Amino acid sequence: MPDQLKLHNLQVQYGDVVAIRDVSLSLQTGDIGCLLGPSGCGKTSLLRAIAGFEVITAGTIAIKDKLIASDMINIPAEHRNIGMVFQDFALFPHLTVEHNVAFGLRHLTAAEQRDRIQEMLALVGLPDVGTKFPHEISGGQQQRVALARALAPKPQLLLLDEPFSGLDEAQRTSLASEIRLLLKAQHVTALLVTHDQHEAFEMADHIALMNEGQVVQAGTGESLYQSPASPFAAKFIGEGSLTKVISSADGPPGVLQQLLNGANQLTTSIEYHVLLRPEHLVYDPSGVPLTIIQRHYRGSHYLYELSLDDGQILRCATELTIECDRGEPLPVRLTEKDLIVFR
Amino acid sequence: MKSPATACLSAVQTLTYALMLMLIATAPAIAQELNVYSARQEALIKPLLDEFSAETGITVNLVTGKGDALLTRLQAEGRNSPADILITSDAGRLVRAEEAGALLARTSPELEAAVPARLRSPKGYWYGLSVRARALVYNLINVNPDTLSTYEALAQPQWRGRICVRSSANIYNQSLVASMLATQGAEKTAAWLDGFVANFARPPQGGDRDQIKAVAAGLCDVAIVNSYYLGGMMTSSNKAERIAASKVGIFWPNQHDRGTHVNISGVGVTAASDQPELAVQLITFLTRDSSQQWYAETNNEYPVRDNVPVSELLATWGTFKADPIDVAELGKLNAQAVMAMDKAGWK
Amino acid sequence: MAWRVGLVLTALTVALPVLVIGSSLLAPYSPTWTHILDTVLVGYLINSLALMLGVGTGTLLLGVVTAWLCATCEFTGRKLLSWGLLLPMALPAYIIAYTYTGLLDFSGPVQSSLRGWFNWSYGDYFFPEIRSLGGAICMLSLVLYPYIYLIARVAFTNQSGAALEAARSLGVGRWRTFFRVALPMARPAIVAGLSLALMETLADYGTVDYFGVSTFTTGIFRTWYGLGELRTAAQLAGFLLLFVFVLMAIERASRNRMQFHATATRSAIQRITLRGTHAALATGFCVLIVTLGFLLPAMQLLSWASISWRTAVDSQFLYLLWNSLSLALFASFICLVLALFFGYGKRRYPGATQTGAVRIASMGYAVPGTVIAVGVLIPFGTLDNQLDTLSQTLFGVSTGLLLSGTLVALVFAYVVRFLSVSLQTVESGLSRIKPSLDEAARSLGSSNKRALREIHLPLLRGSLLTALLLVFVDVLKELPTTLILRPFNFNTLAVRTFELASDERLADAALPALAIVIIGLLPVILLMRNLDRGPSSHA
Repeated sequence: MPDQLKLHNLQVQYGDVVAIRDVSLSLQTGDIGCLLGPSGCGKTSLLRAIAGFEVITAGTIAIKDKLIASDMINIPAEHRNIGMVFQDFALFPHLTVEHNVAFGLRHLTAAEQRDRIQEMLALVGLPDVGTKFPHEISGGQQQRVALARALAPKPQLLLLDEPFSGLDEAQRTSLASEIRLLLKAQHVTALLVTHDQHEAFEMADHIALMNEGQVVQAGTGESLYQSPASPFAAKFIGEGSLTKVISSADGPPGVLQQLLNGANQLTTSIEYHVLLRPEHLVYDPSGVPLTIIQRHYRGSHYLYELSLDDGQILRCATELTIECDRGEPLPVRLTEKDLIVFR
Repeated sequence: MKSPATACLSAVQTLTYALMLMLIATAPAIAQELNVYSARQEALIKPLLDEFSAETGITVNLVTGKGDALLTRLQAEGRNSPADILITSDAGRLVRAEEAGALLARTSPELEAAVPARLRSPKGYWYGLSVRARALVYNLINVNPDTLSTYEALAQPQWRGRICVRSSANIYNQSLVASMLATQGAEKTAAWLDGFVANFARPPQGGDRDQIKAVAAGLCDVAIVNSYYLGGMMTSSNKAERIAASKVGIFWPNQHDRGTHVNISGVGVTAASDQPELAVQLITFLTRDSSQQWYAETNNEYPVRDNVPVSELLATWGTFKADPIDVAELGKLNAQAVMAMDKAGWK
Repeated sequence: MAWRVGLVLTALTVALPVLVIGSSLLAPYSPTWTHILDTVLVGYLINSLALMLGVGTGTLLLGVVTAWLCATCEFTGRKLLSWGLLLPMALPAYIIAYTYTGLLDFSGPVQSSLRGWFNWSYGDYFFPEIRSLGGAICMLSLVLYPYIYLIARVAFTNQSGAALEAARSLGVGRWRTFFRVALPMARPAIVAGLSLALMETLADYGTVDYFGVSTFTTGIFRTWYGLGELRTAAQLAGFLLLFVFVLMAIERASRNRMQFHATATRSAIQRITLRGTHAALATGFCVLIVTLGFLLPAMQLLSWASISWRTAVDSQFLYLLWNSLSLALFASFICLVLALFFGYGKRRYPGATQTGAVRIASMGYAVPGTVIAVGVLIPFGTLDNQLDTLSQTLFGVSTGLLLSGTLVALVFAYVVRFLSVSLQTVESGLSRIKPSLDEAARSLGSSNKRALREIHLPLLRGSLLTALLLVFVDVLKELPTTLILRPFNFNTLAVRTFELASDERLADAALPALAIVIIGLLPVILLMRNLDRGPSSHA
């Protein structure tokens, strides 16, 4: 079966600035992919290049093995049959919700259009707002209308540009899982852009982590979390700290050495970094005491920020019964033996 | 529902038809007709042209505008220009047109008899239609007319801050200075200009009627204006203008030497005309007695024909001696006159 | 590609007269230049700059303050005043200059009455001279401020209430919010209006000539008419163009990095209800401007017209009316279509070539009408005569003049002269439509044409009407181009007004002038009704 979307050695350049460098990715039919990365990493440029709003300078973009962009070909956005949900939703302010959804349905008869609009609005759970204008409905509803509008013409691929950034926290989580279910049920192939890893984990089957215009690691959420391939990935995903370790034979072992005592030796380097996530540490009255810098209340647990003697910071989650104040020591020990190490 | 675009399209169509209609309506037909470019305003030429059409059955089409603009249009259109006749309101423009090769020389015994030699081109390129005199008006209370004599005398210190005159951009001022250059030479003219400009009561502004009003109001004592403007004010429908006109007197300067400065409005056959004989017929019509009388009656201008009487109003101003200088000479000196005025700071 | 090429070619066609004038700068310079440099040029420059500075300040003050008051405040008579403030637009600058001179100069009723009451005579008292640089600044400011008012009011009205509220929640007072948020947000609109007003100022001939103020424009005519040097005059005009070009470049560079688009969710602006002194001041200020800019001169015209109407109304009058109306409507429509084509093309296919071509094409507004006319006459005449020669050699048939001396040439000249007006308005409107709307339309499979028709046109409705109106009124008032390029036996109201006024028959000129004003009012009223219903209700 051909890939629904295939990018090969893609490059986008603005003058001398390379926004996208040598990106290759593919997405299977029905899969939801995600471009994850900090702002300015080029993920939005990549999305816009796929949509046809940016001209690529090298490489190819193909949908179902049909080339839609290369250094020779550039099929205009309006002929790509790729749907897009914009960050600001971009609903047409002078058209009603119905007319917004109908905008991409010109090829259908009036009756078919009516049916499709109803179907789409029902799908996004807004069967009754059809006659309203965009400014008359809430942000979450606008988001769903934008989705309904993008899906109405049955695109081969749906692009979502930071689709939840305009919404509040509560709407964001519920909407993300709801939209994932909806896309899955409709067998829509989708590509999402976000800087929020939780959104990425919630929505996507495959995640491509981007930095400085390149894909630095691609895979499922789990694989990215569990085996980051670079210090950047390790730092960006999860709440872990990339902690610098200098092992020296001389003198008494520092708190860090004491803490890492139980771990498997993964490197022979004298100086290296080790990824320590909150779940790697656990409260243990007999453990190594570390000074508390900050305590965060997380509802179900506390998250402590702890200071090493050289000032580096580790995080550790504890039950709510373990209640210590700033400045006091918190004794912790390592639970994970196979730590991720970068030289 | 009719979409805005469809509405727009139908509006375009309607407008296009309207424009085409206008085009057809204004396109000159092939029948006997003459096309006139006129720097004389419509009101001051159209009635005569209508009379000509009624008499001869020849249609006359008219465009009015500024002399130089019409001349430029004539030149740009070149040999295909539809114009048969060019009418201007001063001799300078006619000389320019003649030098640019835009006019055709035509003579007829009738025309030569009607227009005195100094008021037409020696080779018959153009003919004067009416004479315009540049006179002095003075405040009846503040000025004793005996103290007035010549244009030259207005540069004397006794007139400091007492003179109004319009901008040097005005063609009649330019032609007045050109006549000075012709008779007095460049040096004397420059000296006269310096003294004259120093006597201005205010920076030059407005038209000739404004100068007359300023004299009437006492803002200045003497102004140089074309006589027909005073005539127009005396017969104006506006009461304020009639009152202002009653407060000033008219004086013909330089009666003891070369005479009061005059310019002409004139006419010539264009080089592009394909029916010069018809054009000459119209020019002859414009210089005949009844037409000449019409200029005098309607606009208080002086006829070019010596045998045609002036209007009643003009008659009350008495006769005057006009500067006999060849008006063609004035046209040639026009640019030099403008530069001299620039140098003297006459705005 | 087709769009790009079409856009550049069309722009160059419209730019032709400007390029013809500009190219005169490359022609040899006659000795007259030494004379001009030595005697008058510095004066022209100083006066032109002073005029621009004065009119710029004046129109900004009048236009921005009134626009802001009408858009964001509620006070007695706001509704009536907010369209009343547009009325001065219907008055050509030269006509308001005639009327105020009639009223205020030494022999006018005001000074005469003063002298009568106090038994003064000339020199006993001080009265500002109306026919002066200051007077010209006042006259031009009074009739040109509506350009800023009109565009800025739309901008203020459409401004996000949220942004203003955000500013206030950040502890910024109402007054400072105006300067720090509202004004900068409306800046593209204000600058668009201002540049129209300034270009109109540079091109003005009637007013400065009548007031005896020697500017660059009067200098051009003096060189042409007085010295008989068309080429030198064109070269002067060429320098004027260079000057405008530099000004435009500076203005663009200064706002290069700024992008203004409405935010996604917009809360309608909440008018502040003014009370007491503030309300009285607001009403008073607006009433004063409407009175000075329109009511007073209109009354003067009326009183003149009442003297002369019997002689002035004849069968010709209806014909003049029809000519003026149809011509203005047609030309403004062509301008609008072109402006939309250029504005949209630039937005959709940005590029230095397109931008440059359109910029040159819109420079005609700063060029005096007569100079534009020459720029049209020369290439059209050449083209016609070449065609004629070709046809005579090939077919032995003379085609004569196909374009010169027809309404086509005249309408073309209007487009060259006034394209900038519609383009500025359309571009300012387009700048308020977020680019993501274009992209959304395209991602839904819509072509450029469809996006233009179904997204941009409806959202631009207000701007389009404004553009149409502005050009309509401008063409209605236009004089010098019409005078030179019109076909035989073709007259307009402006031509008639001018002919009478230039013969110093102001009273007789009053009736056609009044007709121009009244016709100019109709679209103003139409526009105001439309703006009030406006797209701002759901856009």
